[in-house]
Amino acid sequence: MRRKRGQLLDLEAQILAVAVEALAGDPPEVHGFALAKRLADREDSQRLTSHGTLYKALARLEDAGLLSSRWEGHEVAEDAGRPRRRLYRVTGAGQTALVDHVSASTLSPRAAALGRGMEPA
Amino acid sequence: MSAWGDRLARSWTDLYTRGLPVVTAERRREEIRSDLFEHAACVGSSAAQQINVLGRVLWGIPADLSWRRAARAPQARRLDTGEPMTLRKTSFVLAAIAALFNVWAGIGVWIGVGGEEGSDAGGARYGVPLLLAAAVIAYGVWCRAGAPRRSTILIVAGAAAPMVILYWMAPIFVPAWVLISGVTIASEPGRRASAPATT
Repeated sequence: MRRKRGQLLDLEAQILAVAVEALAGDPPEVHGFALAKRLADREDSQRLTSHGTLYKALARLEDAGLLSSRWEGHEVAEDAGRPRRRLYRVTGAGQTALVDHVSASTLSPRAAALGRGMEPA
Repeated sequence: MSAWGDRLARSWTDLYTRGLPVVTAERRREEIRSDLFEHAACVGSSAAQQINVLGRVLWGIPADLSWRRAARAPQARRLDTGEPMTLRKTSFVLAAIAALFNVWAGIGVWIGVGGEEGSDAGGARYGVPLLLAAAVIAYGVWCRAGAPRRSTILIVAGAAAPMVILYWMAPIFVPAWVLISGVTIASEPGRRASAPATT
């Protein structure tokens, strides 16, 4: 999809919004499946974002410096008896980009819902 | 034992990450493994959940292929023919199977329907297009090295023939066509990609 440089896609804005919400948690990060689940919950939908679409969007946001990511420790995953999670965290630039996106889309109810209570870092 | 949807998702991930830099490929595989595990842990590994996984795989195929092209771009700049032989061989084998199936089905439908109805016209109506589709695939394979884009279009179009002509068997042919198309596109020789989109 062609778009202007600096413009967020709707999915990207929603991912950033979930990542901003996750900042209040411990850890202040979110992994891929949790993101898909929360995105579906926001839409009140059972349908999860496809693997390809989700991880491609995450890679794009990370390349753009709007998200950062790290692998959780091996010990943590082994103790929990599951594969390691890749944990994503929104950056200051990501928060600013989200606020800009919401400001630029004030006519969109969805964008307004994303932006409620958000301030850039 | 892992469920069929998870196995399919892992196999597809292994396929489209093949030939990419090890770090890039392994990261994507590990993320998908984690996602599948968390998904099953969240809602259980029922048949419905596996269908959900299948849907997530199928809907994500275009994005997966696009991501692969972007991830391959630095390699492609260094080495134009860097596509691993295994993917090319897989692509060739699938195209050959599709062409042979079209020949077999074309002749079978032609003779079978003609025999039952006592008219060659009925069978020819289905049989001839299938045989032509086989020829289209064969031509696509033949021009693979010289005209990669045309070859891809021909193979994908030829492989779609059974799905369109024998439409009542589409539930069987659609997944096969998706697989053949995905592998054919991913293995296109000398395919160059644009840099990853950034915001």
